[in-house]
Amino acid sequence: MITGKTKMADLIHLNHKLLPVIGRFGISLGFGDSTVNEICREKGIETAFFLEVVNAFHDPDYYPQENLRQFSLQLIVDYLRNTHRFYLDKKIPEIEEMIEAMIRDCYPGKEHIDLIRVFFGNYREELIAHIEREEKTVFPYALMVEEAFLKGSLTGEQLEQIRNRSMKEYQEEHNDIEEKLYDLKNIIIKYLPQPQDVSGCTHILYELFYLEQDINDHSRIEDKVLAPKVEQMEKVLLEQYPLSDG
Amino acid sequence: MADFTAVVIERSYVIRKGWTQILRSFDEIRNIYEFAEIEECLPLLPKYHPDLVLYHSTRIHQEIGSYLSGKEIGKIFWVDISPEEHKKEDVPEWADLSLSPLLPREKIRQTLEQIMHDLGGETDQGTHTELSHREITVLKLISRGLTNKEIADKMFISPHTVITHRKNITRKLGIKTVAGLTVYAILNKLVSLEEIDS
Ligand SMILES: [Fe+2]
Ligand SMILES: [Fe+2]
Repeated sequence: MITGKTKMADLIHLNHKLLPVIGRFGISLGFGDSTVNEICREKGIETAFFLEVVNAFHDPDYYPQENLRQFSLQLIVDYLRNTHRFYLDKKIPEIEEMIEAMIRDCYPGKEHIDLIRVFFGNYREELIAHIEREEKTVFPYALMVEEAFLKGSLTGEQLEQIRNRSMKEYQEEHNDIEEKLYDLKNIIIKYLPQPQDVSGCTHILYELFYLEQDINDHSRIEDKVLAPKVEQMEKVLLEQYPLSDG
Repeated sequence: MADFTAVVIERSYVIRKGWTQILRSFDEIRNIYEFAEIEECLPLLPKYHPDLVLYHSTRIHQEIGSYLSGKEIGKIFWVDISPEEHKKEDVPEWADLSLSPLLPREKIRQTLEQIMHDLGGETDQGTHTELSHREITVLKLISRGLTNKEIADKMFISPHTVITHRKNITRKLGIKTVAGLTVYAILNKLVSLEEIDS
């Protein structure tokens, strides 16, 4: 497990896939022998939260710490929201542009190739709907549960909400948003006719591999850090107020 | 060459011999065992390890499932050979496919051929990437937007078998979603754009 005393350099040697993750915290290379604790303090990052995120990425079986007051859910929600923006405002338009270029330069005159454009357009809609549901329903719900948990009090309305739609349900409905990217990769690699210009296709494939992995990791933060914390808080709240509406 | 074992369970001596005769005409089938009653056959299934069981069910047989669960007998393809023509789209729960003895002999042969082909396809998992005729049919129907249940009804197979076909298609092509399969089907001219829009 990665701890505050782990050297930042060792963390990257342990798992180089953590590079984009630490980048999202605003940490760049050149950390010498500094530990996670030192760098987080220097950058003003909540260490407990940083550790939770890198451990969840690094270890598929990682389960978050029991201590619910370690850091605010707001931090997780902000992190997830930032990532959503990164997908919608940066990655998706970039890939759309690459698809246009690929159709134009690699497959001029080939009928049916704009199927790829339609396919990715559908994917974009799916991703937008997925993110919207999280930002409009799931995140506000999570923050509401935390607020009640920290206050140690619960209104009748909040109790009703917890009973009606628990985090568990959200999690069960949390679908695999990266499946279509996986398909698109294989369609390009295996099933599109031979391109006239191979490099145009190679570039877009790198992007798709990257985005698929990144969304996968993002979903794991939702499933392994956010959801379990909210579930534990729900449990405490429901134990404390078992029959208050009776 | 495949090396299958088949079992026929049918009360009527004459009909049973008829099925055996058809099965014998397939090179892929090495052993055929005949039974009049399911009760005689069940205890022997773990020993025979059949790939294919043709069964004329005369009453409800939930006990097939409960008897076999937990026993190491591998995957069996169950074919329902009850002659009830009028309700043939209803494949019983336990069966992968219904095949009525009242169908023309050539049709029966074709269906059995397809089953052998599919069984063969499943034995060399991973390397075998060409879709079988049946899988192509399923793929076309998926691209036209049909649900598993609708595909099952159209092809006279059980929804369970449709799901098996879908899993195999996904494994062979490396494509998981309906939208992705549709793109594949169009690129390979299995369906036309007009068929999908309708
Ligand atoms: Fe998300
Ligand atoms: Fe998500």
